[in-house]
Amino acid sequence: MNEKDEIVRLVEAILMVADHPLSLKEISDVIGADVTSSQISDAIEVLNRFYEDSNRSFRIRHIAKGWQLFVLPEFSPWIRKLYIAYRQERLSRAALETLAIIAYKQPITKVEIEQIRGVACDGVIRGLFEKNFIKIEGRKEVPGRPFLYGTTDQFLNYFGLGSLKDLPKLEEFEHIIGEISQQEVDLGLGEVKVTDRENRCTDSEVAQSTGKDQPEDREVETEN
Amino acid sequence: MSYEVKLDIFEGPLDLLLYLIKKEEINIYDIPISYITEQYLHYLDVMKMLDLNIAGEYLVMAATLMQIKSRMLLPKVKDDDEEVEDPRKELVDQLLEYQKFKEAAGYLRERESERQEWFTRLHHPEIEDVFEEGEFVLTNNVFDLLTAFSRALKNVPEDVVHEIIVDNYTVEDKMHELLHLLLENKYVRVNALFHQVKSRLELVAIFLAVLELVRLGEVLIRQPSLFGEIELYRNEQVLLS
Repeated sequence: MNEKDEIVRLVEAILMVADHPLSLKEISDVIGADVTSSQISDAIEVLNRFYEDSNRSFRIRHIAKGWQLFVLPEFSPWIRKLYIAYRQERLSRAALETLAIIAYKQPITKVEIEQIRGVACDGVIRGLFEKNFIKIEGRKEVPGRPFLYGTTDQFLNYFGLGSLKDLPKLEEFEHIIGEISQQEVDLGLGEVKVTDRENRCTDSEVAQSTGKDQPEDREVETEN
Repeated sequence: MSYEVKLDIFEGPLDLLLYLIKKEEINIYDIPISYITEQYLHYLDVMKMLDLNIAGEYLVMAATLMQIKSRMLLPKVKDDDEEVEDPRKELVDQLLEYQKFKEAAGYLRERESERQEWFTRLHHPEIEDVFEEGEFVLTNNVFDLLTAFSRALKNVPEDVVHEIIVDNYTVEDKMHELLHLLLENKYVRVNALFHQVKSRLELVAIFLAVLELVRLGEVLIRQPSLFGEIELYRNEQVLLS
């Protein structure tokens, strides 16, 4: 067996037992020797292609700045039967709005968030803290030295994002407004914009490398 | 006694305005300010009628709308070199900015439910897998326990004044109960323990029982993740000796 195969097998073994996303560096540190991050990410790509070709029920996904084995979404009904504790969660609209603002504008102060939302956000921010979705990034050097908030890896994990780069560009949400408010604009345009957004999302995932199977995974999801 | 219910129909005045703009099919770049103000105030009236707690922000917005309305009525003093700014511009910008994040929140909502179809290895492996013999270390401090306690305290039904409290909860009883639970179960989650209490007194008794058992070394505390659920384990070594 050659060295490359051995690395692939090691990466698979490590990811098999990990219960949280592991970064390329964490994996290469475990394997040791002189294995580089790019060798690891190559190995992940090989594995995902192999899972794909042999029609396995799981894939390695890029999530929260790391990599982790996930069962494909098509099996979720059975997993839910096995573990009833896996109930579905839904954050409140206030929490999602506030998170969206923090995600795109970080680091940002509470007052700045409130200016955008037009309402007080103390309670929401406290809740997001408790859920470990946001963290304090420092203080803004203005009178009162208010805290600056940013998102955490837990935020990325909860929304299935590999990194903040996976978020669509904020401007892409602008088009949708025009579509809604300007009735005279024909609706076909809006549809084009939406697919455009999805394409770009997929592109960025491909750009993350290794996740060559990700677009395929998405298709499985939509089939459901 | 009056109740103030906060119904999350609207996430604030901007949300309400956007709703009105959509409902009335208004072009956001050319808002008929007098009409929208009227509609807005009408909604505030309805909310008041329903006894909803109208946050101060809604009233501030009402004032802003009326200010814009009056500025629109004033004759425009035009300088030759500079364009007179539309009094509505600031509000429109604010609405557009907010709308963008509303869309972004919608996107996060999609990701949220998508993500919940992806399952991975469980976070709480069986205890045998985690601990080697003698590796049981108490890493918790009392503050985390206190946090769990105060959180549970908030969830306890308010003591009704007229109720005669029949049940006497003693710390000793609770200690026995807990040890029995731990004979049957590998571990007990503190939150689960607090969950079923009927009164504050009982909660306090349980809390003190936990502290006492920890002090005596009969029970070990484990918190698998930072700020995570606190779990209680029976200290096997004490039982054996």
